[in-house]
Amino acid sequence: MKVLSDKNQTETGLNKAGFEQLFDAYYDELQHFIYFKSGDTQVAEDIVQDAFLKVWEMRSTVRVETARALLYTISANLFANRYKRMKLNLKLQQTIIEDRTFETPEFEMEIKEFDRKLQRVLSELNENNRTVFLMNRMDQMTYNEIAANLNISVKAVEKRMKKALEHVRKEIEQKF
Amino acid sequence: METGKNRHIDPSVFSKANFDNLTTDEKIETFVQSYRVPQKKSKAEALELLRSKLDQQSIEKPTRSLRIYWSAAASVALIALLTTVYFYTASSSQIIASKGQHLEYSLPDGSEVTVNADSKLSFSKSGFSEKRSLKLEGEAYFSVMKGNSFVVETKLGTVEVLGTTLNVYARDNELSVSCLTGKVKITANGQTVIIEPGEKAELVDGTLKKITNISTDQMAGWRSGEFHFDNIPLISIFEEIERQFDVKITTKGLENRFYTGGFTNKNLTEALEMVCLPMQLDYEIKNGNKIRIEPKTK
Repeated sequence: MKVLSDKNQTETGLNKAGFEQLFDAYYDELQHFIYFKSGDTQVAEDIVQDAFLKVWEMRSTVRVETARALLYTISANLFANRYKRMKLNLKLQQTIIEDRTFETPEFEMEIKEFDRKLQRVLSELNENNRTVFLMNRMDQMTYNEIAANLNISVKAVEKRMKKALEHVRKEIEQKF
Repeated sequence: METGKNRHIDPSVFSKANFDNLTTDEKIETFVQSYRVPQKKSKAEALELLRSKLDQQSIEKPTRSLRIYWSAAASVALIALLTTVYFYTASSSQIIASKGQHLEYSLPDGSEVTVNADSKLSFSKSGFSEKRSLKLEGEAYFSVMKGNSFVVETKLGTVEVLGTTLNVYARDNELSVSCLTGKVKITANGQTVIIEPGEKAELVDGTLKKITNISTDQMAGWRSGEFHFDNIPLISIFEEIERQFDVKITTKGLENRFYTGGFTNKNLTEALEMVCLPMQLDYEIKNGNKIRIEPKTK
């Protein structure tokens, strides 16, 4: 018989440099993650600040391998606890349009109208579906990465992606 | 990671001739991929802000006391571990994993079993190879050698292994069996269900239900010290922490609250923080093994 319990291992702990590396690596994607849920930059930035503060407070027990998923868990739960189902309005930046001059004013209107509608449809999506969809499409995360970060199965990621796409496609086609 | 990584959208797609020829899906893709998330502060500014908060904190409060309590608890746990109850007589065997302990054991037929904390497995050693039958209270993971029938009896039902690896959870009024490879037959309350890899059978209010599409990584995550929960009552999570760390937890005001997430059994404080921080709970450890948990007061 072998005793497997190894609760007393001590390969845990973060120093300041390690902590700032985590910040550098994951700040943007976490800010995006909460923005996808909230549509509010201020909320997203506040939550991510607090999530990093909490991780710093518990630094002696944080393991680097699980830190990313831990940051996601803390951010998601902070958001869920503070902001209950708010109606949101995404205002994603479409830099290509902003900098461009269009052939005709009609075409410029058409493009801007499409942008407005797409952002509205995305805003109306179910929070979980929208978040997974935008993590994949905007932040280029693989399904495996998303599953690991959110502590859900790859199947669940696939399902959310499918639902998001179907909904967006249907709504956009109806609105045009 | 750069905010704009990998996003090289050719601006010419936004010419009229091109745009009108795109399908709805292509339009959606083009737009979504060229979106940026707005930020009020740059990452560098956010880091400066965080640093200033950390500097303030380090002046305000050094909080180390909890860890000292824990190391005391750890040495107690270690002593408890050395005095593990392990009955092993000629005819009947019992494997008892006490709280805070996982045990791995090879059965007489070569099958392997890992017994989770606060669980008891008993079987008859003589003639085990002919009649492979065990009794389980608690939770265990089995990797079963090929052979004749392999039966795990629990208070609520019987699990018959038709294949190789599975996880059985039988505590209080709960029975849950998940199958990692092969096939498993579960009989409870006069109902029978056969499950295959990625499936789980649960006894809910006397009805045996089959649940599909479960990630096999999470089925027996406890063996590597990782516990996953999907929308499970908070109180059950703390019961699992009690078993894993051999501590006593009293809670107040947590009824009807649910948790999705996990904890690891490497360190008590870390496990508590993983659950308490996101759920906005305060915890207090007394004498190293008594813990009080209640919602943060604001």
